[in-house]
Amino acid sequence: MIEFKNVNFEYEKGTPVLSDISFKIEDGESVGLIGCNGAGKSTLMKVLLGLLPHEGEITVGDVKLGKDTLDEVRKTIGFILQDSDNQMFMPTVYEDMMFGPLNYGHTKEEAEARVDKVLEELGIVYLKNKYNHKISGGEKKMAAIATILTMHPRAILMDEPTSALDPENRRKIINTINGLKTTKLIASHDLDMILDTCERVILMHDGKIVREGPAEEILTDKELLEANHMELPLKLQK
Amino acid sequence: MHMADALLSPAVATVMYGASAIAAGTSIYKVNKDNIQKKLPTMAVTAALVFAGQMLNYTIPGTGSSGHICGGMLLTSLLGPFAGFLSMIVIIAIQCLFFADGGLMALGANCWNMAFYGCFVGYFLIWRPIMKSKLADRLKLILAPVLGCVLTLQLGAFSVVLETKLSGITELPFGAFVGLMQPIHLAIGLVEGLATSAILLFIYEARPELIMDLGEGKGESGKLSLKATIAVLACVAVFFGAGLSLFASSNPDGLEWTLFGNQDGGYSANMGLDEEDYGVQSNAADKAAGIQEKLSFLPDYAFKGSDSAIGTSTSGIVGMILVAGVILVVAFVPKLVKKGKVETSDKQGE
Amino acid sequence: MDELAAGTSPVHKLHPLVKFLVTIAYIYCVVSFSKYDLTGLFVMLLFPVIMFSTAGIPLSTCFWKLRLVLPLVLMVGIFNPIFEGKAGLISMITLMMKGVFALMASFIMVATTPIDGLCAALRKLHIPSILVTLLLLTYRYISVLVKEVAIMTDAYKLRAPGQKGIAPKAWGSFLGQLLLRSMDRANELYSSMQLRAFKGEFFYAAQRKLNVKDAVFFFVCIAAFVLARLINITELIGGVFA
Repeated sequence: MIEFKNVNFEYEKGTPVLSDISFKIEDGESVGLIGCNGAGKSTLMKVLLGLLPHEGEITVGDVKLGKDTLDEVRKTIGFILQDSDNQMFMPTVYEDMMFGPLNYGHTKEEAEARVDKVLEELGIVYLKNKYNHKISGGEKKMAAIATILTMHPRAILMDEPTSALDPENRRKIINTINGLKTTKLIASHDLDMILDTCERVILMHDGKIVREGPAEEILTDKELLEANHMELPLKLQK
Repeated sequence: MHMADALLSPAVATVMYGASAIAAGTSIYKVNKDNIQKKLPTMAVTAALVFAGQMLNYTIPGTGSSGHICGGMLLTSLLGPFAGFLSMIVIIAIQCLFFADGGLMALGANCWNMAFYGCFVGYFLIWRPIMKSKLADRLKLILAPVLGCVLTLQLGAFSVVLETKLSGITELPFGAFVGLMQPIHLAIGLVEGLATSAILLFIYEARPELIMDLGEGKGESGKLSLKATIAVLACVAVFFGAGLSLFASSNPDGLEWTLFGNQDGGYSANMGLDEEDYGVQSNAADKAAGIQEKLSFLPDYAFKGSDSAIGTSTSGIVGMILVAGVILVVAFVPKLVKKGKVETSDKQGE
Repeated sequence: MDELAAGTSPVHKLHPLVKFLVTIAYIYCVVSFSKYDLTGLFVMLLFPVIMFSTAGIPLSTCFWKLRLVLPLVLMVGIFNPIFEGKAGLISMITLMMKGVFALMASFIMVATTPIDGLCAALRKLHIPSILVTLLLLTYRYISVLVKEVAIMTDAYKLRAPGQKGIAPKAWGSFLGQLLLRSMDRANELYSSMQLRAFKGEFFYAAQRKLNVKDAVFFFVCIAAFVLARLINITELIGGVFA
């Protein structure tokens, strides 16, 4: 589904932010992307979405990421930003959800049908006509997920989906994530959440992939985590 | 500084709408040449920031009072004159629509007074020349905003006076009005200039590339900027020229020519600042008068001589009492009757 | 404002475009009254009062806003009685009334029309899409940034007891910080728009078509304004009884 082959990126010459990244994510897989601040997680996601240029080869589905395939790749992959306020720029939840499908050339009727279906699935029909600046943080996150789902992506990228949420809303988001049938790549420091949602983990440090493997294996490896400025998930700590 | 609707006559307001629309059209054309989609979010967020910043009170040293920023110069220094102007329009429109600051009809005039000077005059006459000079960067960033804010606020304040006088709203003599407005805005301009410069100096330390034209190579678009400078100067000259000459020809002012006009027994006569009086008028002035003629369909009909003029005729007073009665009924009775109904509909709206 | 705009009264249900045009017409009409025509102007008060009353919005909600508008109007008007005596007093009152009436009319329009409806109406009037889009986006981010400013102000106050505003030393860094963060926000926002294939035109929530009620409202209002402007209704009514 998503494949990186020797991908490099640097903002300024001589200070690589991503160096020689290679990995593969299969269809339907849930993968956690972990690493300390500045490890390159967000940059990796932006590169994958074509928001930043890159060297090397990135394939999404059977499309190679390049200038001409930007639209196609972005239609395939939905991105949920860390700050929902930046994601939701229209006045109401409804208009925000319509925004993507309409821009990708779907008819109004079709877009509306999608909106209603997604709202129903996520159990947030009551949010439909609410103003984006009037809803709570948890509701905003749910709505942000909804705006992406209306585009029917095959894969979803999430940047810190549970940051700044209370325990109940955090649990709600985790359940929602687990309910999604798409391929998922989730970047986060919330290792408990990663453990609950992902079967595989990619560990990054200093722009490189340090380790890649099953979630239970990496997230229980105390030494490995501590060497990379992280610690065991809370529920595994004694 | 925001003008209210009541301070303008329809004619002046319409002319100002026209002037601002032309400036906006030019800006849209210029901005569209760049990658507008990329600029749009930055414009929106900085506009929102200036808006939020206006709610902040800065302590003014030595006075114990506080003031707030207006933002024209700041937006221009970050976005350039054209995008800055569009952002200012949006700020002024939102202030007028949602915060009742200014008015719907006065929007054109407010855009001109606050945004046009701040963005175009401020940029082409002050910002750009100073940025291109050989001064030290920090000095430039103090000089340009302070000079820019002071000058553009002075122009703006003078325009407010001119527009109000032209609209025939106030009996305050021109000189006294100017004497009242300019010093106030000198102080405001200085404070705003200093605040803007403080912000820019901070940005300069952190991300100098955000500031327009700073450390720009010499004269790559020198020709264009000269043309633009002249164009802006011409606009200002035409505005003040037309305004002042219109004003001069309508002198002494409203009351007197109304009286004379009526005594001479013709409405049309008093309406028209005598055609010949215009003499060497610009087109704009002629047009303005034309529009004024069309818009004021019945000039001063109620003002007949000095007694009933004041509207103190008995029928007038009785009528007002009756209308007031009707208004009270409309305002309060339905509320009592429909109280329950309104409440439920409010709930539905939640 | 958004809460008020979400009501369901007949005024709320009017088409935004019609409301917008009628409001502009009203303001032009009010302002065009002669400055001594106190009685003629007075009848114009009926329009906003009827609108407020039908919309179920208390008149008092708009009055605190007057503090912004009235000072300059008062400053300009206060000199009329001084220079003109009794006539000046009338013209001052008329001027104040114009200010208040215009404000009431635009307030009731905005208070009963959601922002997206208003923007759609502006597009119908062929206001360039870049301006309308900018308006919508700015409006959206004002609340976000005001919240940030409020948080920063609180943080400032907690460490600067007794200060009235922000001291000059912190002028630059205070808004400067916010500005830098806002620039990052703008970049994020741009990404988000790009990822959803933004092509330069926004979509506005379904606006219903103009119907007969809108048309009736429009023509009745315009006719009433013109009538009130041409005939001094107040004096006419008064004349019957006086």
